[in-house]
Amino acid sequence: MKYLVYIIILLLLIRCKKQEIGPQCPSCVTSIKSVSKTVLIGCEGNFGWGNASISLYDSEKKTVQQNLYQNVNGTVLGDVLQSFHLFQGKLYAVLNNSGKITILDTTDFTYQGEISGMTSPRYMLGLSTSKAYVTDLYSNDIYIVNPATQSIIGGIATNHWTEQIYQFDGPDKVYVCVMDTNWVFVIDPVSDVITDTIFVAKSPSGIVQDAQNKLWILCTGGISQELAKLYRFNITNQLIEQVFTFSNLSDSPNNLRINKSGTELYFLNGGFQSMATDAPSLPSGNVINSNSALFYGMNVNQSTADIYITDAIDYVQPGLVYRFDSLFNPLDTIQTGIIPQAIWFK
Amino acid sequence: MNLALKYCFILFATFFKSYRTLFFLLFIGSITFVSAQSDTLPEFEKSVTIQTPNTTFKIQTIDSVRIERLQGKSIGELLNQQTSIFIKSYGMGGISSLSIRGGGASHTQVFWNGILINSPTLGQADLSLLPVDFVDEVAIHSGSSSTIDGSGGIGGSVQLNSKAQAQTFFEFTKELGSYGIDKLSLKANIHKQRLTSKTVVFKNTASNDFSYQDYAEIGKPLVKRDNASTFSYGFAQDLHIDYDRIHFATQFSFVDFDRNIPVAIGVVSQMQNQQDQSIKMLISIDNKSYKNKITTKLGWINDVLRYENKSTGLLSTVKTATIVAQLQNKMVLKNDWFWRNQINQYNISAQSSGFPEGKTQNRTALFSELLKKIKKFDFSISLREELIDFNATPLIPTLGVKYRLVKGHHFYFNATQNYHFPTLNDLYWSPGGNPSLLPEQALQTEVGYGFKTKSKLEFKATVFYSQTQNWILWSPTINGYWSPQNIKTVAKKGVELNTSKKWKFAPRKFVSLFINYQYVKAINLESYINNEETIGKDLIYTPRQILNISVMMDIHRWSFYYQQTLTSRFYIDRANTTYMPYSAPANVKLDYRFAEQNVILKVGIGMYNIFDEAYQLVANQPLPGRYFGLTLKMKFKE
Repeated sequence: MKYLVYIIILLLLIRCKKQEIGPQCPSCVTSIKSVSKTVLIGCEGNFGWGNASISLYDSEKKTVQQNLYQNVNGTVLGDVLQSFHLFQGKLYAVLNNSGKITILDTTDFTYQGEISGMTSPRYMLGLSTSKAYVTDLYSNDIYIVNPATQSIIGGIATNHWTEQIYQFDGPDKVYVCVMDTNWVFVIDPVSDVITDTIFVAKSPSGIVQDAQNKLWILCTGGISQELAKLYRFNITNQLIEQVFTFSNLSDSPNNLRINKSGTELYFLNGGFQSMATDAPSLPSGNVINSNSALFYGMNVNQSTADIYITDAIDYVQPGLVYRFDSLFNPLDTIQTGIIPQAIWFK
Repeated sequence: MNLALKYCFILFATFFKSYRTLFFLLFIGSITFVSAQSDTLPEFEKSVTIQTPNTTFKIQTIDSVRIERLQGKSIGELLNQQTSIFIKSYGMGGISSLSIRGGGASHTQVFWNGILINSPTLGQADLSLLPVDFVDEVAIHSGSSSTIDGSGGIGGSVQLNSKAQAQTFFEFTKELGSYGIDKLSLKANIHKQRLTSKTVVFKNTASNDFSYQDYAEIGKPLVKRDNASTFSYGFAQDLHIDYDRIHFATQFSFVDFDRNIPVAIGVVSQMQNQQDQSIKMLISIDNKSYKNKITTKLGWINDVLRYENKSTGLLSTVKTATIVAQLQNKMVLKNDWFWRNQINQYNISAQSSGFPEGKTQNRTALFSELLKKIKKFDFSISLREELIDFNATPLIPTLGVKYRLVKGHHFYFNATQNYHFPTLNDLYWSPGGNPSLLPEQALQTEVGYGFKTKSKLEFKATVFYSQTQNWILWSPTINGYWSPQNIKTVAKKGVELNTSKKWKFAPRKFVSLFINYQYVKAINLESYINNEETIGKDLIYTPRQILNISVMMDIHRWSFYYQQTLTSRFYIDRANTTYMPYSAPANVKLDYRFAEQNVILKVGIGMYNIFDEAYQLVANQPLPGRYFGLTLKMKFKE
């Protein structure tokens, strides 16, 4: 029996040192090469799995490199990469279910710090060297953060899920979609006070500004709760000028974008749809059909007018991004990480 | 071999395609036959039990001796250490579900003393909720053999049985260990002539604040697992009364499990908590005669799950209640025929945030099995028909053949067409529930060879193949929510090897060795999702190889237990680009036993994950490195 005791003591001295700990993706491990025309594709990853990632696409050479952040910085990015925001030369990656914003250098993508301590951040809007707003799904506040000190310095009570945030080019006002209501908050960024509320349809999800300095507000209508609507809002007289109502309860338009000249609206509604800002009615169909793909995110490169549409497929495998030119001709299909969503053009 | 299995299967499926009518005739005939027979049975003879013929199926059992070595653990930990079943575990006290032969968690049906305990909403059983202390025997019915228990076990089924012991004793067990492990168990077994009572009480706590490397932080610091503590307690009472030829039993168990849920590496702490309360009650009456046994069971299962996320304010409660009635008879007929019939009635009610108004489901199952011995062959043929809300579902036929070669050596073949029906969540969850879902349809075959020698060497080798159509997956929709669809066809093939050997050198000097190995390749054959990347790829969370070795050694007053599991890498995305690396955790336990007349005192030290391996079975959910437990056990016998 004493031999058994010796064996156990010996076992205590043995330690297993593994090279591989946690999820491994051999095809994603590369030394990142610099690219000429940078497009970053933010992949959410699965909620709660901690597998968010960034794919780096060279739009000139049509090449893609996966797991950019991990390959550059040696650590995993976090959970649910919701959005990117470029502010004062740094790229802010909002990691929804990591409760933080990771700050990256826009040239070599090295880690520059982070703003942590949030509950479920969604979108960021930089206002000044020392002030930015961050909307949040669950915190019931819009966080006021200081990008310089990388810390939270205050909050604006909203008691609701705040989503897309937009600063109008003219009068100094910030517009915030309040996703679980039918409101758009108007905030004075100097006093950090909600000064007005625009009443729209259920679940406003996106705001853009057109060439006529009108705001366009897209409401999804909730999950088949009411008809989706698109609003044109005049900020001068603070009145809704026109309402476009989608015809089916199953319509769930999202990802509202606008072209560089501010004359053509784009959004996803199953497929990709396009609508002139002076159109009398909603588009009758898709200009790009999804063909059973799951169109999930979309953005327009303002310098080339190329359209990028993400396909999350089934959420449990690497996704795809389809690239089209301004006339909706296909240019490329890009392999990405899991659940591609946010797209940023350098 | 695979091709041969496929052909056998096609023949089998064709043969049974339109035989539902035959089944009803057989079943009605059997009930009539039983009532006609009961008057003509011979006088009751003492000490007779109905002799069930050798089963044609592969059944793997874990007896009470092996179960006792893992006292204080959960059923999930027991299966992980004693079988080659893959247990998807979130860690000590965390949620754990199992996968048999590459099936999903809901493809394994778990039975407690013969009644199904899978959640009617999720379709799966959380094995971390069931303590080993409540169970005296575990039987694993892989593949086809699960149809003798019920439908839906596309992977297999697990039987958890508590049994009366014909002795009187009181047992006290206390374990203290690393990371706040504090376990207490009291067991009282009283046996007086016709009456046996077993009472078990347990209380377990653990802080689970072990250290791990946080590779989502710059510098990859060592940090402590946060919000992972667990607290559980429970009570079980069995009462068995034998009167004449009648055996009456009541079985009751209550478990309250309060656990904090830690987040994956890279996820912000969310202060999640889950509280499960489970009550199970069963009354059963066995009426045995020389050639006939009738069992009547009446059960009630009540489960409540409360989930809270303190960071987001999310609260969710799921309540399910099931009333079960079961009538079964086993008959020995002339000329080596054996006949078993069963009627099961499940009345299910459930309420959750997905269907706050509540849902009910009525499930009736009729089962009939004939076994016949012809020279060296044992044949088994069974039919199962389920009525869900009084609507007929496809018939489940099963065929088994066993050939006894020479003494102890045998071959076996089984085939079935099994169905797994959608869960209440699949059908009714709002938004997304899909009432038009088809059941998952699985064609399963297996062939095997086994032997058992006088020198207590047992070996079984099984080759299996199955194909499941209409596999249900929740997938995203353009409306922004998820919905279940019959997405794909999956093929699973593999090999299982099970060996055990016992060496006895002297009365209290023996060694037992158990080796279980599983190779399974479970791949997507086709998918309705518009992407070819997953075709031919492995299912996620399905390791191809699992090897499990355990050695038990008793030398006079010393007991030694070594257990090693090797799990090969497995993929966590459907295109198979990302995998979890292999893991090889091992555990040892050393006990010293003092015996003085009717008192036995056992002191033990356990060392778990002895090589201090950093590993995960769920992506980014770290498991503890090396940790220890000290056990004190006192047993007072009459």
